Amino acid sequence: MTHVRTFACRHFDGVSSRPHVAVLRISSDRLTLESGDEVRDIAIAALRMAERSRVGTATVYLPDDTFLEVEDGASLQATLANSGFREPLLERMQRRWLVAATAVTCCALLLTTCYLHVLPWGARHAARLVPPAVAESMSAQVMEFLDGRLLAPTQLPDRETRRLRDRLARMSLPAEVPVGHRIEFRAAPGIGPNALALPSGTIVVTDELVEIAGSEEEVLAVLAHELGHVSERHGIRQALQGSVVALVLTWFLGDVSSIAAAIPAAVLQARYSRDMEREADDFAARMLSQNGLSPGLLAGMLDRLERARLGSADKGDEPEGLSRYLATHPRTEERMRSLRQATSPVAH
Amino acid sequence: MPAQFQPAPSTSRSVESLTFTGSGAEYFRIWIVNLAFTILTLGIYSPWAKVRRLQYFHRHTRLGGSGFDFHGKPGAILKGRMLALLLLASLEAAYNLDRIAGIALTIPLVATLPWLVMRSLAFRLRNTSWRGIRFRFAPATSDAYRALLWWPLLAILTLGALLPRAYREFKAFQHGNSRFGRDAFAFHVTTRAVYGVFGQALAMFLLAPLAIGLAAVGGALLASGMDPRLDLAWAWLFVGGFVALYAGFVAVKPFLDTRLQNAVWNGTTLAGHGFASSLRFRTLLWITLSNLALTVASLGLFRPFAVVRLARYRVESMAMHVAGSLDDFSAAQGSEIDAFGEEAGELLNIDIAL
Repeated sequence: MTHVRTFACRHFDGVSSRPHVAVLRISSDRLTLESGDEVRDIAIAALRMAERSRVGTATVYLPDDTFLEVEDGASLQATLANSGFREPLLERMQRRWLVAATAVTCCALLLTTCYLHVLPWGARHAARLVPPAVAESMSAQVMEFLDGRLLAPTQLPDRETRRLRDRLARMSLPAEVPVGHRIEFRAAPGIGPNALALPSGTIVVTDELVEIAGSEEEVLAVLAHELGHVSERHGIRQALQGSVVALVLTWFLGDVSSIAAAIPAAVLQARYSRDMEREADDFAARMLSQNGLSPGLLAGMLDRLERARLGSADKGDEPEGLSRYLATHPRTEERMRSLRQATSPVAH
Repeated sequence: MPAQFQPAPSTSRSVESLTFTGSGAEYFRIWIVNLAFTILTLGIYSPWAKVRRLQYFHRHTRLGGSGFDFHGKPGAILKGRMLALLLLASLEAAYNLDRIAGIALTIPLVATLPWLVMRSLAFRLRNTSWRGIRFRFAPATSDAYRALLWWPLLAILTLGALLPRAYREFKAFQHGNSRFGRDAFAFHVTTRAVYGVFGQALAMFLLAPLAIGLAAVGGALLASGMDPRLDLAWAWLFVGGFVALYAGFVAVKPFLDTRLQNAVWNGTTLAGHGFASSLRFRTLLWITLSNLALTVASLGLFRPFAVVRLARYRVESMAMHVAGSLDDFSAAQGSEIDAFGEEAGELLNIDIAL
């Protein structure tokens, strides 16, 4: 004689919300439902259960689309399991904390991999597909904004700017494909010595930068760095990667506060920016060496820029502590060190 | 002999509270496994994840000893998401190609949006049940266009002056067209009441911080007088004003959530039954802020606990004023089930809500 367990339950017929008091009897392979005078046999394999929960009642769906609510859910589950009822794999797995811990690790690894490798890789490829017209219109907007507010026509003599353009044009590039670019000189008393590259290939150089440079070659070194940004399509890549990061974080935190989402987004985007600066430095180092110039020239220029910045600002330390994670450029000291290492012959 | 044949008791009124039995620890495991699978499958798993999440929250929301249930099929949700993605991608492509083409595509898209939203509200309700009786959503298509296109448009054109009215029309559309089995919900909230809530929010969270900010400016300027260190006063003013405005900005959503949920549910009936919602602003604000702080501090791992905590508070502040008995609802039969929901077939069973 097999052991029979009985469970008090409420049967809902799908027609009315009135519960019918019923009794469920489960033996090793057989299940009967007694409701009033009616007794029904049900195959255990034909049952479906709502996902099991620590608290609350168990819900059992019968083959005829009606269902039972069993108060003592935990012992029902145990009894059914003994009778050969199998929960779906996912539901069985999920109750284990080990699986949850694995999932946490998995998520962390996947998200980190996506952030560090997949997204930059995807953006690198997608950036090539962006039509030049889009880059052109993005850059035109930025240029219009800058010219309207921060930049003024250059005060440099014509022959100086022409000579810089000519020398740069004669240099050979470390890229396989020619890098389309246009150099624009501008006076920028409000910005000071600086240079920037726009997605279309327009490179803006401030008069102030040309003025503090120790030699023409140092200006060329900065131009080589900016050409690195153009050649690697950093403007478009940053726009793509940055918007994916912002999108994911807004989805995750946006329903609580958009500002709470903006801060981690800034930290994550800053890292991409620092990586791109390093790439542009590498490009410049290769380009300079290839043309018989020393990568140390760029290091020297960075040194001058740093000193100019320290001179003008009252606070002027390198970003330390937490603010380091928000910096868009790597520490100047670190950049100079790697550029100077690129100068010394490689000993193998 | 069985209970069905007893005479129905004369309509006595009783209060049944809603309870929430979910736990953060349990939901955490569902959430993290969902998240891992969703990332691994590049998002394809997300409809399955959504169904499991909705089932968890429905089944743990209980009334009269029974849980709600969700029966949506992940395939329908996947279809809806693919459709939404396709529409967005074609829109993006059109704008990249040519601005005129983009606008030409936007207009029909905006025009179909109310219909899509209506379909997805219907999907959600038709797949929700309590004690085996399904909910339904049965609006006229013209109502959808009035509530989801006409009123929002008017709200924008009047720079928000008609926003409370548009909100009321949306809720009237949503609640007034819902059915439970054979019984219909009805919506009785007045436009005046909704304007009251929005007006109070405006006064408390925008005008008051603005006034404090201006007072801070004035104070700072007076205090500094002709002092050359006027900069410092400006800095303080800026910080003070910003803090006041941001505090208002953070608090306004819980405030609106509280007052609107209370107003909407206190003004909703189902046949002869009523509802009561008694959320408190301070409690909801505290839950929102502490959830945010803990979610950020735990790098996101607290999120499932936060969601459960919020759901528990929102559900448990609700009660149903039952006229008679909860046992007397019955499912809609044959001809009562509108063609709209059922005959459109599998293709149109979509859910675009993300």
